[in-house]
Amino acid sequence: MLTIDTRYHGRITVDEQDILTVDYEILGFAQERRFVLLPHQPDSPFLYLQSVSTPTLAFVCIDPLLNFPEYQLPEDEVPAALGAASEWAVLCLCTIGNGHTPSMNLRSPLVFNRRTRRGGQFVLSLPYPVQYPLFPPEGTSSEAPSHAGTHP
Amino acid sequence: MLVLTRKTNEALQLQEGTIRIVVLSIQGDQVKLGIDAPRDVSIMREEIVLAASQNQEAAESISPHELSTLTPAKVNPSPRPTPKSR
Repeated sequence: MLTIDTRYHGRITVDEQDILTVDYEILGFAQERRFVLLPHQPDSPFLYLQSVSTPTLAFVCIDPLLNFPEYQLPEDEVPAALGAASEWAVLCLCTIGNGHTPSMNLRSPLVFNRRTRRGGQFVLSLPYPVQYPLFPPEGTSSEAPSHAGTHP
Repeated sequence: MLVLTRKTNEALQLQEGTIRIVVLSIQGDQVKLGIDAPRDVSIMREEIVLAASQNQEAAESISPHELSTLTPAKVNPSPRPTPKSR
């Protein structure tokens, strides 16, 4: 067990085997190689990706399929070391607050192998948007802008 | 934006030749470029820069209050297919 300080959950104890190892840099955060996933709230679709080494660093992330069911991640854009697509956990980082329209980054998802808990961030060659709006108001379409989401 | 047309093996010079960009080959929609530049000139793929700056914004922007207002009730109720791959 490991005791860490977190941005939103105070001091907590985590199981070593729950730690995610980042082999493929979260871009701009090359020093940050170990994270844990913490719940936002019961029933919330969001998770916090909390750095193990930096208490003040936490990202909000979400399963992109909750907000964009057509999302496809080509297997050949993720290294073979991460195993088959059936073993992946895919998360997108969210930007929420500071006056931004809440959005998630479909262009650069995080992919982890569920078994080894290793992975990282990948910039797709598909033109998915970096800021895809989260949960548009009811009545509006959840389809991607026309420049996104089509598979070549 | 300045637009120039170049052929394979033709080059551009920037800053009196301190930076040189050569078109090495063209295949379909892929262009292979060679770049000679001083060590202190940072050269990055644009999508990497954009991803890094979006990550920075994501890390700095979190508003737990606003996050709580994005409740599951507002979650698109569409069925959740498993990720497809090829």
